[in-house]
Amino acid sequence: MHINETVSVETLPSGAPIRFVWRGVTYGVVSSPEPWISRRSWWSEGGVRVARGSAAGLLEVPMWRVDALPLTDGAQRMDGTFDLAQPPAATGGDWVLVTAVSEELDERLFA
Amino acid sequence: MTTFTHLNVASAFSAHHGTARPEALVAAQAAFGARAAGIADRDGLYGAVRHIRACLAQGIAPIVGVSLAVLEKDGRAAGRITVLAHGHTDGSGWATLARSISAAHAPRGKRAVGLLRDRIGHLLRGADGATVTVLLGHDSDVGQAVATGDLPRARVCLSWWKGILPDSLAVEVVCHYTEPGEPASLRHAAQMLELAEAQDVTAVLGNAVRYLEPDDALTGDVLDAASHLSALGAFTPQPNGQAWLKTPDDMHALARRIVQFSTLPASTAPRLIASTEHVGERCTLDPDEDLGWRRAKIPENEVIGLTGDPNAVLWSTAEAGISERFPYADTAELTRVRTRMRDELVTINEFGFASYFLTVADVTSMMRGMGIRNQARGSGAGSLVNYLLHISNVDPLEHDLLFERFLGNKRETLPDIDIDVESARRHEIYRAIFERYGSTRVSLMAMQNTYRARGAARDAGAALGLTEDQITFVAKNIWRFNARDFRDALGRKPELREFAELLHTDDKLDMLVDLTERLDRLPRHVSMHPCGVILGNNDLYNLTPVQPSGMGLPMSQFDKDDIDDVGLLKLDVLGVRMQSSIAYTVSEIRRLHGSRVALAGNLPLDAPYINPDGHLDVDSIPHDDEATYESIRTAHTLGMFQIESPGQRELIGKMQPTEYNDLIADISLFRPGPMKGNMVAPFLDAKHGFTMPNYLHSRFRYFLGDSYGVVIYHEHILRMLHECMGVSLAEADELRRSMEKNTDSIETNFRTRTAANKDSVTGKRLFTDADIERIWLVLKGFGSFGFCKAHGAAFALPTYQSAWLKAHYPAEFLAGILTHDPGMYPRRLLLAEVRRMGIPILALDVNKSDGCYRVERQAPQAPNQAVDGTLGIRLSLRDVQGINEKELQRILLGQPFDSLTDFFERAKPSRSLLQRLALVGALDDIAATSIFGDGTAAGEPPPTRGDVIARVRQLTAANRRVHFPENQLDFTVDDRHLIPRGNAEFTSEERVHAELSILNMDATAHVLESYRPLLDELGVTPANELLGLWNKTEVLVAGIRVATQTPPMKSGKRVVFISLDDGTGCSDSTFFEEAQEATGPVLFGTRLMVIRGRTRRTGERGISIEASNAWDLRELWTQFGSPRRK
Repeated sequence: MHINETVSVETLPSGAPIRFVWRGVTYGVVSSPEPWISRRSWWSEGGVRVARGSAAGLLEVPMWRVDALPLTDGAQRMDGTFDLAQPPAATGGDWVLVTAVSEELDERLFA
Repeated sequence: MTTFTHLNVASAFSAHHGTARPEALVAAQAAFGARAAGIADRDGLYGAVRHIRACLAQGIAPIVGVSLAVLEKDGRAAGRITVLAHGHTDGSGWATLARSISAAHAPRGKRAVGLLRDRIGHLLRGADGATVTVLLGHDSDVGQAVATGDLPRARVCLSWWKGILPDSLAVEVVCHYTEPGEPASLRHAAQMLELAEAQDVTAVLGNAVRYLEPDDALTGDVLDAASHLSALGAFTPQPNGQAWLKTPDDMHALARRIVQFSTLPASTAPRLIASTEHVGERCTLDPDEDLGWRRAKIPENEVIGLTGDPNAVLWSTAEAGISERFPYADTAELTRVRTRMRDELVTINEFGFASYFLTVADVTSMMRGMGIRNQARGSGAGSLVNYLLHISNVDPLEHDLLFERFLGNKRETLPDIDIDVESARRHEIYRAIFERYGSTRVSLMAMQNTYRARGAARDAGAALGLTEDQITFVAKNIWRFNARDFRDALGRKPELREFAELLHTDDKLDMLVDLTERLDRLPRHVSMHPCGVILGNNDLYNLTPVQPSGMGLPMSQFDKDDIDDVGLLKLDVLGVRMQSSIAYTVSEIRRLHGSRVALAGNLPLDAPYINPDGHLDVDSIPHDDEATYESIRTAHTLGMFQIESPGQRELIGKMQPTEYNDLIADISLFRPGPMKGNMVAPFLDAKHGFTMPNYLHSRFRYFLGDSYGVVIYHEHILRMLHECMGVSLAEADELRRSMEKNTDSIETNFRTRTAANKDSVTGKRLFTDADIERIWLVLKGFGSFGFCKAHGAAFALPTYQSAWLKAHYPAEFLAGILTHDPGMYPRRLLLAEVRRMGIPILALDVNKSDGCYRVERQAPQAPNQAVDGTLGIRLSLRDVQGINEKELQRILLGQPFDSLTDFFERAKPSRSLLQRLALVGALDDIAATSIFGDGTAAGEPPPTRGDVIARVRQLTAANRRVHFPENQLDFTVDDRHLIPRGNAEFTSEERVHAELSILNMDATAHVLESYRPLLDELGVTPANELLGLWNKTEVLVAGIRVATQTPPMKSGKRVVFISLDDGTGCSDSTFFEEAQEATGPVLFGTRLMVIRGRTRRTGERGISIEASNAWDLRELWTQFGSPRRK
């Protein structure tokens, strides 16, 4: 399920997420966080220049995949797998929760 | 310093995949401190030789492999593998690699390139143990099974491979940090490693590299789009941009991370690195041992029918050539010939090249045996031995050419001998070479086609999803600049102005510019080289992988830059259309005139180069024919080899050549260097007697006489260095070569040695300080522009021969160039030249036209009368748009036809072909006359073109095909009463329109005539009246564009030459920067133009126009027409 919402994230010294807050609910990571790198469709983004040697950061989005459990109460809580996009090192910015997958949620949605 | 060996690297020679040249990849790895560097391109060894060369230059060890698909029996692809050759195996690892690649390309229907699974054991497993190592990476069948989570299947797959290659198999662990679970994700890499450990298979670490730096990943996206033939976003793109050449530190860290993520102990990481290095060592090639690096491998002696010592055979063959080549030589000349021959033979034999020369001689003698014209090109023409062996037709003594320029002292690889042949018979020659030397020793050479600006812009545009119109708009205005300078060009080139404006508002176009720059020079696809044939020994196919070529014969994956290093013999057998045109002209002359050839050509009746049966030996014509030079001097050089371009016409007009040396000089001067170096003006001034020739030094007079003292040729420079420094000519050529790279590198040496050069008798210095200063300045200024005179002399031969034929047999010659189309101009301009020369153009006629342009005698030849004026040229059926070979043959075999119906029945043309033939009038004649005589009723006019078309419509109407009973096939019918009458005759505009669209030529009248009212109103000057105008007259010219050139200029600024043909001749206009500004997109984008400018005299018979502006004629016509219609 695509979420694309900013979240606040607490990380380990390695940079891996350990806890994050999404829609008021704090989630605790329970799996070994797996780093991966997603990509962007740079050609459909406006105002972008792609001159040789100047576009190294344009294609990739560093992500972490974690399994996490809600630690606090809230309106919507889910127990599942999350992809968190790391803010670019250079510019800072927010973490984004890109996708959330939950078997329970899937069952509810597609039952 | 940590080290790491990359085993799996795809270079840019993995077309539409890799983004970096092998040289750049190797340099980067050398900078990392790598011990060795690997390359494994997709489907071939296209970049392998460059890779090895780069490794040798960087002092690191080369590793070579290939990435191949595996195919199941049903043709389904089952992943890819990397095959690496083992080194230090006396070439057997390389041979296995090469033969496996050839097998992967072997044609079996339309199957994709790949190794058939049931052949893999046979191909990869040597009889005496393994000679290659196979890497199973993330995209192998094992990797795919792991990715789908099917571990049992992964184990089965891996076991299969282990059964085939028990001791030379490795699992390649690749981590690109793709989405968890996907191939090359961290998880996947860990599982691959676990699987290898569990099955006791070696594991190596790799990065499946396809680009040099992270930034190249975007280029990779665009290449993927080109390979998918679809726009970005319309296919699944690469998962991310991790496939760059990571540093040893990166790779070591990656190993640790993969192990950390796995269930294996931490000690596995260093072991993974160690086993990678171990496999790397096993695959380290020794170029000498494994490839016979730079050692000549030519056909075995017995193959070229050689018994005994090749040196002795070469000597006696050359000796035998003396009496053939110099039948009338006196003793003094024979002594000169023998001395030169001996000197050359000594050098050739010292190099051990005797069998090479004999091989080339064998090939050319085979061509002569087939009756095919051939002519050596290049520095090889400087060799007397080549002349004696009939490899070359240029006598080096006649033109004072030097052998040392061709073969010096220090050459270690085989010299190039390039041979021009009739283009129309080139494939015939290739097949004969395969037959003669055995298919194990011959292959065609490959050519790497790289992205140039237009292609790059097209593919970048398609990747961005631009419309075809947008892409065409951009591509049309790209004109001769490097794609990598696209953005820079936008600010400078007026024709790109409109486009540059659009960039401000259109992001996609802005991106297009960047992407076009990225694609520049990347290999695009591999194709058959237009002229290269590779000869080797019986082991050729152990050295080079081959793949099917367009013409069916096997093509090597090596290109021209690879051949020297692998020690193969490359024959450049270049198909030259002019050679075909000459051969055709000679055959037409003989067919038409038979025993009267000399008379018809206005030649001496006892000319020794004409056989009694009418065969003209063009290679023996004298080189001092005044009629030929006179015809060249008119500057009506259309059809004459190399001197027909607008720039050349201007130079010829100024030079007014009077002898063969002038032609050599003309060809040598018409190049960027001499034009920029202003060598033309001093030559012309001295030739026309305005100045005295300046020979620089009295000792130079004997060799600078051929160019009025101007230093033009390499041969001049060799002799100057030889005279000044007292070095041998061979040493002088080495100095010349180093000067080409850096003129100043020899300055000190030159000054010291020349100053020390003293007369052996008087002991006085031969060159004063002032001499040295003066000579050095000339060497410095002209030294790097020089041209090989042997090359020029060889080039001038077809120039002279074509001019000679045009002067003596214009109709036959023009029929030859119309048939073989050798030059730079469209056929319609050649036809305009026919018209200009007053030679009748005979209409296309299904009964009279052939598959080529035939010369026809229009009236019976009167006794004792030359045939001038009665010869016409009949248009060829082959140029009818859409005619296929079978239809053409049916027409030619069926001629003559009695009637339209007869033609329809027996020639069986397609409906559209029949309509086209009717439209261009090819059926007019059979519709009007008949074998029954002129059957039309008295006074009844012949059917009009409209009547013929109406009849064709009847014939081709559905289900109306009339079938005659079998037994009446021979029964001829007169069908003229079936032709509907009363349809309108074609106007001349309609005729020309039909001719242009169907024949691409305006045969009955010039296309410009349709615009006559506008041209008259504008007051346009016809091209043939320009010469009569005063200098600097303001004029308008119009016409159809026949040539656009942007030749190099002395100033370095761009100048555009546009030639227009208006039916009376060609006008040549020059656009300087301001005019280019004014003209904008019309400059390159339009075909019919009107140009305004001022006349500029360029010589006695030369006039051109300095343009100020130009317009699209059709646009003017629309504007002209619209107010009238109101």
